[in-house]
Amino acid sequence: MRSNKTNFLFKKGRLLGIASIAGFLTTAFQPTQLAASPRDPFLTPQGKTVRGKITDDKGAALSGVSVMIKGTTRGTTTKEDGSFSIDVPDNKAVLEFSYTGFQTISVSASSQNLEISLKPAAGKLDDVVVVGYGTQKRTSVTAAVSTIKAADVAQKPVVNLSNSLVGRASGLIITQSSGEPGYDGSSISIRGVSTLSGNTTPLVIVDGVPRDFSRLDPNTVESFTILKDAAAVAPYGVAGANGVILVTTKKGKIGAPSLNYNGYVGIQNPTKVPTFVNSYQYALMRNEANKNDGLAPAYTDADLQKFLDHSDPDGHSDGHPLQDIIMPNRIITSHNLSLSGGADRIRYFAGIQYTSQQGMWSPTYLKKYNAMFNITADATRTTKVGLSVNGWVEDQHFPSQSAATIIGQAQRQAPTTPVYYSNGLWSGYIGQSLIGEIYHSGYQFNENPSYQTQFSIEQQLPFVKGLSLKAVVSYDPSSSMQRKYTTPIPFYNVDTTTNPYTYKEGIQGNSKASFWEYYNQTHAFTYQGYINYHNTFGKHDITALAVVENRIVKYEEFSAQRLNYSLDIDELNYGGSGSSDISNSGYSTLTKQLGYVYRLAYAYNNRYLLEASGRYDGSYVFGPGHRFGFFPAFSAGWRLSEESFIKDHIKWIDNLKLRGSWGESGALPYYIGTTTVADFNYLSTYGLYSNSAVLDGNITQGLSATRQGNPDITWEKAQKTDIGLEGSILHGLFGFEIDYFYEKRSNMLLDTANHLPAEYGLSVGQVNAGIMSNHGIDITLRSAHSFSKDLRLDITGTFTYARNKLLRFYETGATYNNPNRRETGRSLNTQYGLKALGYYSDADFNADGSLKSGEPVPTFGPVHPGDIKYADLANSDGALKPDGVIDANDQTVIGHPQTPEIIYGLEPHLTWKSFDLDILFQGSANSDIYLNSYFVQPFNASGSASELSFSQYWTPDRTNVLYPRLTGTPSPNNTQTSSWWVRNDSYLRLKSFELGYTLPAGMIRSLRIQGIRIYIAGQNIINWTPHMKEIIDPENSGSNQNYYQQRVFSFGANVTF
Amino acid sequence: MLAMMAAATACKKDDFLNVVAKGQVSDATVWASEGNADLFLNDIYDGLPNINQEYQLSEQYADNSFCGAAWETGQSVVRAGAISPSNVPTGPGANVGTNGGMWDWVGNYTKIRKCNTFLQKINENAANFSEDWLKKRTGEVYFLRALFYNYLLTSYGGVPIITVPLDNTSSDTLFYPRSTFDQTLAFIEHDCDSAALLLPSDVAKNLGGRPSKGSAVTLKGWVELFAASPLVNINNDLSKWAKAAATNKEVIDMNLYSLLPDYSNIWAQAYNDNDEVIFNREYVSVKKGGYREGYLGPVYVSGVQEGWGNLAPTQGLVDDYSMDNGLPITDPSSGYDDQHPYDHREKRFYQSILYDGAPWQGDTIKTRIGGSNQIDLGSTSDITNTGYYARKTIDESIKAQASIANATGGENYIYFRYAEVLLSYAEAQNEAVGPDASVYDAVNKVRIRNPAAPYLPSLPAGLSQSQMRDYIRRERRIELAFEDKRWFDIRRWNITSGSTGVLNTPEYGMEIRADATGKLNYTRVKIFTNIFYDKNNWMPIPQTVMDKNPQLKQNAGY
Repeated sequence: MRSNKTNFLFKKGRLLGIASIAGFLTTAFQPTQLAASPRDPFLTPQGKTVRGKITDDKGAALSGVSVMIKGTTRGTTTKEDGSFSIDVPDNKAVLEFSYTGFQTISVSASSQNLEISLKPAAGKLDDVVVVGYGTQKRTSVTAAVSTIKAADVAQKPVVNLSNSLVGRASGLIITQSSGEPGYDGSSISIRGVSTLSGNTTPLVIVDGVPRDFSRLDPNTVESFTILKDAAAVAPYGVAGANGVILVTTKKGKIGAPSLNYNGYVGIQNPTKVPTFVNSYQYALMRNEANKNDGLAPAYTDADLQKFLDHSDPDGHSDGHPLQDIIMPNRIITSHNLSLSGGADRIRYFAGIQYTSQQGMWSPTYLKKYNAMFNITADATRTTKVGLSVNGWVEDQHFPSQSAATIIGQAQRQAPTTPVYYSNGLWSGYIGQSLIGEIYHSGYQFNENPSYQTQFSIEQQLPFVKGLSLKAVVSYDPSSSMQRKYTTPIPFYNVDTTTNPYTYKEGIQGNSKASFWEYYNQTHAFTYQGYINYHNTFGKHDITALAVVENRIVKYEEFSAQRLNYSLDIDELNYGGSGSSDISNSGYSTLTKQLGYVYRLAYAYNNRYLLEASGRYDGSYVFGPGHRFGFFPAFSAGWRLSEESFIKDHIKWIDNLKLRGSWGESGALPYYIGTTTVADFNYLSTYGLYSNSAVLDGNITQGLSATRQGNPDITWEKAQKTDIGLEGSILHGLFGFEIDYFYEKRSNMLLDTANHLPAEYGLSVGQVNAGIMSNHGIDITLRSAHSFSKDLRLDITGTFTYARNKLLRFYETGATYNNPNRRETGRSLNTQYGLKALGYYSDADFNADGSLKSGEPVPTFGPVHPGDIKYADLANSDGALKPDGVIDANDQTVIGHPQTPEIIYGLEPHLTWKSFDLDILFQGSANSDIYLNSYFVQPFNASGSASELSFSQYWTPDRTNVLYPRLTGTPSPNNTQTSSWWVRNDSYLRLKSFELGYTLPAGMIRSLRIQGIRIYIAGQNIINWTPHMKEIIDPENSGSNQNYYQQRVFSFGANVTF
Repeated sequence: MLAMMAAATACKKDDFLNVVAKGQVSDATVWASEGNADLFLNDIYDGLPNINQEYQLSEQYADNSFCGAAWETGQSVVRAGAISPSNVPTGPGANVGTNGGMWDWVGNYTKIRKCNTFLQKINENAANFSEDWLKKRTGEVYFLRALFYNYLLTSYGGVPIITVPLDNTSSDTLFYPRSTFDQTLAFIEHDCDSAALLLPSDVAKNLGGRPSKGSAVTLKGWVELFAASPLVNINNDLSKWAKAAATNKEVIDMNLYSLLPDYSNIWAQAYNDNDEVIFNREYVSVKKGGYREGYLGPVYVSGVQEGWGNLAPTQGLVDDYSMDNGLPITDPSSGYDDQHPYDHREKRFYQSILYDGAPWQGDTIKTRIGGSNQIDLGSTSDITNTGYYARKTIDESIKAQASIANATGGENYIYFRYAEVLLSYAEAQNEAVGPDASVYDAVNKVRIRNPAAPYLPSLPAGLSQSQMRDYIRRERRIELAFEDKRWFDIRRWNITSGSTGVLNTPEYGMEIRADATGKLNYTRVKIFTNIFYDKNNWMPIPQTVMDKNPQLKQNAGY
């Protein structure tokens, strides 16, 4: 509650009109509170008793409601009849009433007797929702918007905030493919993917400005708002097409200083680690492969015996590389201290946090330090000034070798090579050493300080009722300093020809160290000027907003490298001094954006809501004349529950609103698969690069035509339609929000390569030619019920379904003319490949080993019984007629895209006496993963084999198995992209839980502490992948070589001092 | 603030958003001066097959090498009978950078477009350049374009001949059909002739990685030799051989090139730009260096894994080295002892092959059973599958791990050298007119190499044409081993497929086992069953290329 606002407005005596300004007031606003101005201390005596009664919105008494003097440790609870009595020091005191399931409210203690009714939380009728460039009362919102309270995620043992949102709000489709500290951010899309032109991530806005939110301290975040439809994203113009996430940080509230501590300590272990064969199994499989290849056995019976009895641990080892390198029970811990409070003209909030997370091996860990401070002051009666600084540093530590390299090597290394020899020395496998790469390879340190600073000033214009101006300047500097020191990686190979064995040291990499330093800095400047207007004329309510926004981002980077360090001193200056030892590079860039935002809202009788919003937006990315675009949106809402036919006759409906929106938003071109804007595509230019050909003894620079520009290139246009129904019934027992959406992305930027011959020889700039649709539904259901005064259950369920369809894009004749392969009309990233029928058997072959006539002939080399047999579906004209040959023409749809079409969550929250329990089940459906590499293909790249493959490879006596016959290397026939390797990776996780216990007040009173709650929490606790036998986290890549996602258990405490 | 915003927007909106595209150079700038245009040409040179940074040579496709890296295309595709339009091995350089392999379709047409653009633009902007520069650079680009077309011709046969940068904004045709083999050949010959006229003619050593007249004529002689060979010249039209002989003779008659006395120095960094080199690509250690030592060198040295061992000479290659008396080991009088197979072999054997017992970097390579490089019969490691590693073209002074980490190799990659020209001449002349004295002379030059200490005795006199052909083919295999020539030779000779095809019969290695007394026993072991079909002599046009240009016709059999 922003009581400052009420103060000066009250003095102007315009209570009613003001009460609805952008929803700044809470409904519990009671006339009694306003009887005396809290600004005027001389009117009231020091110390008094306040009495009152608390009821629910239907007038029933509420017992057990917490009544606290805000900013103090003193409080009480209501009795059976809802009454309470409390001594307060003075009229300045503010009482806070909280009760699970109801909205918490604060009321000035200036009155002696308070009659207060609490509103149920489930309906959230009068919540204020943060929307683009402002706030709105939830009841007035005509756009599709969902929200997440940060309190739901603040205590979960998750470092990167982007990993906390999945399943908690409808409309979000989120995949976390890596669990590596510092690089574990989720990829987020709002209502799925609607474009093939590269960037599908939503725009993230923190406190009104485009910013990263993933490293914020969750304890300092107030809420997340997901803007989903055109009406919601229209104010973001060109940047809004993929949806917008608004993050709002906490601000101070009036009251005495409140100091809070929140901290936890947890342990992490990977969710799923595949097991690989032991050396005996490996040797058996190798011999089987050699047999199939017509070669002599690789291992003798004597070898096999030694693998079995471990009598020769170094010569005939039994290693478990993956298991051996992953350390168990890695610590994650976080500690936050926050202070908030305010007097009537000044409010402040400050928080600091320390987070530390260990990696699966000790050289990998991160430490994150956050600090934020904001202050809001009423500089004059009509002027509000805000200042905020939010900063953090993330220190990331890694071995010099990447996690993917290490995990790949751990899956590749055959068990016949141990990780450590019996004497403690570590091994190398095919010249690569696991232990060496992790512990003896040097390091990579990244330090990424980032600051989000902002100054705002808002001025009411008293001469026009309801008019105010606001200006915001934000300056966000951030940088990244990376240091990578790559040392020679020592390892040992055993020489078994000597007796006793000898261990020779080898070096992986150069025999001298190298050092690389990289620095980049970004300076983002955002300037916003606002005009706000709101007024009510009888039953007519009018809101208007206009914003001018200018954004300039400067980016610079440079890097330098030295080779051949003679001494072990990791500073740039001390490397080799020869010219070939020294290198450096750097570049800079600048981006500019200019936009004019408007929003006009009209409400009649609080029943019929109309809104028009949009943006006229310009970007440097396009050529002159193509830089500005207009993105309008229109929406309307009808509050059925305000109509007398419901209001007067259907009492069990609390609230019901039908709303709809239509609009256009834009998207910039992006380089495919990245989030980097493809700027200057309007120019035909040549790119200059260093280290080109060596000519006349010198390394030259080179210049090559980078692309043929498209001077007409402009935005992608997204036309979004949304119809939604939201409401609550039975006094908040059930709440729901259901949206159907349809989006048509036109002007979609396409590569023209498929419509030009391969002989063209130059990439041609993207053209605005593609069309893609995306539709689906998202649903949020809520239920809240108090079973008794001690037991209360809140459940939220979210469900999102989104399916896209390519309507027009450049496709080659080979796929377009073949109904099985045609991509037009199907979902983007649908997986295509050969349709596997099973395995060849002896019956398919003649005596000489050739395929029997009538069997279609694969073109990937000869086949034998036990190889994968494919369906002959089409001929080279694309006609669906078998032509006796298995080739690319026989490809067909073999799987969904790996991004799920359905994501859902179920979030029960239970309170019983002093216990509270929060659980999130989260799952996905309609997605497929394409498995490949070591853990499904034995001996891939001289690699190892999974334990599953040992029990599942084909032999003449064992044909009903997952994997084909063994060969020394996976055969080209069997590694063709085919349905054989596709798995439905739908999953259901017990994504998180939190069980808390609030210590009884009596127990802690002597500690002079206001409240203590202790909790245990967890993340990724149970992970079901019912359709896959392979052991792989469903969000990992198909080769299972991303850093594993972690299962975390933690213990924590919240303390209010 | 608002005033500022208003001021900002009062400017012309578009200008307000102007950002200079740094690092992106306009057309006018590129062709404004010789120095600028040279930057464009440098990039074309950078597109030359980058073989010294490659881990799979075309030797791996041919019968010269069989390495344990089973996933590489040589083993998993080429020798497995699995070449198909959706799986086209594109040759050495495929695993380096973005230019694609030596005969990569898209890569070569990308480079050809650059050549076409260069020729067109310097012509349009001729006023900005000196006559001397124009002449020299035009000649270089004609040569480069011919070289790129040569890779296409010798891999796919006739290809679309495109001589201007295609432009989809004009109405000109974009979709070219394939020209015939002869048309493509004639086009390459013509480009070579044009280049020869413009390039310096008096330079023996190559011009710092640039071609000279000798390079252009050599390239022409090579494509003519390819065109005269059995794969293409089905009716054995002798005039084609005669033409190839004449062109190669032209190079010999320039009297600019000579053979280095020491064979192993040809690829040594210290001898970069030696008198035997006709066209090469330059490297600079570390900054733009080669990885040959790391990628191709022996795996275990002094008990420790060093290199990747990706060049593992086959038993077949080893058997083709003569005895030091000049006789092939198949000659009963050669003195070959199959239980002492590495004794008394010709000098190039010791300079080319690392065998069991050979010294390397202070260690002795032991591929015998129990040795640190024990022959790998199951492709379970990088260790040699044949019992041999390569020594030739690999700098012994460079440690393999340093090479892998830092590209330490500073030796150049030679595309054409004089010994090849001599052998090409001898082959063409022998086919056209028989083993005349000039044939003997050319082959003997290569066999002797150093008259002061001959590598081999002269050829025996009185050889028949067919005997001479055998000598020349064996000589060519040995002399040019590991130089990415064999793959082209065995295909043009049409000896790859069929029941005796060198790529359709098993590959062998040498298993060496000590008996109880310590005596080594040598056994040839089958290490791989090759499968290669007739159609594979020509690469299929990649399916993705076929899909985009309906005018193209696929090669027979695919």
